[in-house]
Amino acid sequence: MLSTVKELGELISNQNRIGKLASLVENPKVKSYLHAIIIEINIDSGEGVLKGVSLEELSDRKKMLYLYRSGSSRGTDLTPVAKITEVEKTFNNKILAWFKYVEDKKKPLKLTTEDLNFLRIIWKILQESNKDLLNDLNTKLGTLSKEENAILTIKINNKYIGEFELFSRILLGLESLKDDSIGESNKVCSVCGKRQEKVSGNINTFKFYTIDKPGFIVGGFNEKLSWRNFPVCQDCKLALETGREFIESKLNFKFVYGLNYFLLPKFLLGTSTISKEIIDYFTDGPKKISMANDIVKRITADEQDILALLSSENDVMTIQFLFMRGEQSAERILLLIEDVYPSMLRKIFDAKEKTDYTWRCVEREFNFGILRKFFIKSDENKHDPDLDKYFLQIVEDVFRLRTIEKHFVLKFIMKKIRYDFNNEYESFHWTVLDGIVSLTFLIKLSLVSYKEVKNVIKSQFDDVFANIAPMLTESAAKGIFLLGALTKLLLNKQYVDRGNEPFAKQLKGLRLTERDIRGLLPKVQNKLIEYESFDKGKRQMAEEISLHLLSAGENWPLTLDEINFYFATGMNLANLIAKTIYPKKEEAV
Amino acid sequence: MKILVFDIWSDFGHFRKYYTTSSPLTFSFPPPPTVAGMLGAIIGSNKESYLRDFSLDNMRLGIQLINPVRKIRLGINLINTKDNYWKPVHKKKHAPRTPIRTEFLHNPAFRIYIHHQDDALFTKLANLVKRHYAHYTLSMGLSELLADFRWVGLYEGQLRPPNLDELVSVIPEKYFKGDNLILETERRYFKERIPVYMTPERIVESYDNVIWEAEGKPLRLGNRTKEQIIVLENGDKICYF
Repeated sequence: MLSTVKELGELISNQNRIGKLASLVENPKVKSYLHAIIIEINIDSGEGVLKGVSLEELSDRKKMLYLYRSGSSRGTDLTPVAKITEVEKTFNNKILAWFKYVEDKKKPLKLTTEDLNFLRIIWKILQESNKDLLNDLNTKLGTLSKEENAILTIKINNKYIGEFELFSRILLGLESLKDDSIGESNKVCSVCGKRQEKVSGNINTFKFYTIDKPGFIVGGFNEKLSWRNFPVCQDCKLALETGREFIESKLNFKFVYGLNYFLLPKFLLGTSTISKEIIDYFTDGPKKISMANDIVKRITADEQDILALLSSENDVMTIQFLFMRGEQSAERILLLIEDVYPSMLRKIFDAKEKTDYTWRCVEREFNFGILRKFFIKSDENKHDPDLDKYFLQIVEDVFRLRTIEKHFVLKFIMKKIRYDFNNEYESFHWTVLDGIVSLTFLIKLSLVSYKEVKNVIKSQFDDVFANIAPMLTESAAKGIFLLGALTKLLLNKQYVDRGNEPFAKQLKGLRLTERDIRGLLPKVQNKLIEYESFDKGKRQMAEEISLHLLSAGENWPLTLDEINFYFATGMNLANLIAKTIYPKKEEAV
Repeated sequence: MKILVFDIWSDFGHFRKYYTTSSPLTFSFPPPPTVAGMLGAIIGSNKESYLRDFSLDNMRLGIQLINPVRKIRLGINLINTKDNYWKPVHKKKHAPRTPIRTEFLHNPAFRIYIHHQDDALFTKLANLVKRHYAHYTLSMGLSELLADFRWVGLYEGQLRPPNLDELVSVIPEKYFKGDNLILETERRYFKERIPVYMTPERIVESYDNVIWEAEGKPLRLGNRTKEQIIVLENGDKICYF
């Protein structure tokens, strides 16, 4: 994975001619950090004067002027620029402490007397005006809305610190000191594999490599020797940083609501065999591509989903999906799906197209967001999603084309269906349809298997059954499905006549057993007679239900979830059934 | 040359990728220094000497995937050693444990092929494997993941240049010269960068990209390489590190 990030970093650096400094400097405009509070200082003939505090909006274009480079969370950053957490803490621990730190490191940083004098003037001013400054800074911060944050920086003689060569030099020097603290000379770099003059173990490009706990440092728990675990040379480190920044900004996609992923390309035989469009995509970013395609097929929640485009490539490249979550200062890998071939993507898109075609009548298209609906929370009252693990497992199985246990998926689909049904939510209808669409997708992809059963009973609903095949190959399943539809017609009749659906109570919160289903048919039939609605069409349905249930015999090979899923499916596709039995648009209730 | 062939397998395995600590990912098969550790466990080499005893300077090593690679993720609770101390009870911001989501191999099984220049050591190893005797308990990467092993055979092997042969082992990158890997449909090729040569001071001296097939199916290699493969008397052909 790291080689991929490095290759991408090199590709970007070569194309955009990014130098060492530009690779190191971070864009402070991230998430809620949208503003800069600037301490303005004037220096004239060796004397410094505090001009005041100003506020401006952060701009991507000014990245090199702000010259921000984060340091350790407890220490200072690498320039006197910091993201404000609490004004006083940030000012003292990040800005003032930076000047002290640089003063302490003046020798290894090789600072001249002139450099030091310049820095001391600024430091002195900041210290002397500490109290007033803090008041001004707090006032400025108070003008921002609560959702917005700011960075704290300094301007000298109306110039940003990025315009002074000294601060750039110190940044590079401090970075080098950081590397040297855990490093060794003349060792092999783990990324490029070459023997290099200097390697460092201080790598924080991805924060799933941290050495903040000695237990993470294998081979002696000694932080100073931790370079042995993950030695990286300067060039590779910079390429990794550039690659990471590019991935973060351009190859970060929304998979489903609440889950993002990084898309990492891996070119098996170099980039010469890959189409220019794809290379451009990976170097210019997704916007260009999405503009070129008016109708983009999507299986994720991202507007700029390019998986359909990648699926047309030959198998000379693979892609990796990296799902990560930030936790405090670390990053956790939720899932890494490596080496997904374009041919595998093609299979996935084929299955999606077949699914969408099958269910064009209900106008529901498959994407992972639909499947996600069933794998968010184990309990709807929970605040945060807790089923990510299961969802990501299914996602991995899909991209790996690995078999998925049918009953596992059905269990979660039915859970959501029951919840909506019992709470009488209007979303019940869509939840059932989403369940059918999701299951159909998995069946079309041959990940969920159904035993083929020979059809013995000729039915007038065979066209409807064909859509739901092979789910409805069992006689019992067909009977349950039709009974669900008949029950829905009864409920519709009750609603029209009385404004409510009292018969819904007979459905036991969709926990119907085989015995319940057998007992339900006469009850539905009886009620329809009472409502004087047991017409020819419904009579035909009832006959067919009886035939299917009788031919299914005893002890159906169906679980409780399956029985109720087919029943709910029947309820929600009752309109399709009604169209068959009332072809001339007769009353369907 | 004599080649010792034996299988190792377990319910779970974990060979941590060196660039992950707080979210450990696993390699798909044990890299050569890890196999050296396993061999050391069988013959009883200690921590300081196993990398010397089973250095690639004096042995040829081939690794074959027997089961398809299947990775799963499980949460394990590690002792929280942040700030260099451990407290058994929750205090301030310091919890006694830290939950770490770890990637494991499920049902890993590998066939190991070894030829060692030291006859005495090689004979000792072969005898121990044949008797199913290990000095230290064998594990699949972590001490919690106990592994078992099984004698397959001691075969005569010949060195030969590859000639569109079906190779059962994983293939180190040194074997690739241009396009001599024959890409076949119904094969899914995976590439991973692994540490190959580690000194007894635990400094990795070489890393290599290795290619293998996801289900452990054999791969074909053309002959445009100086590297030789080993052909066993039972017909199996392997690449070695």
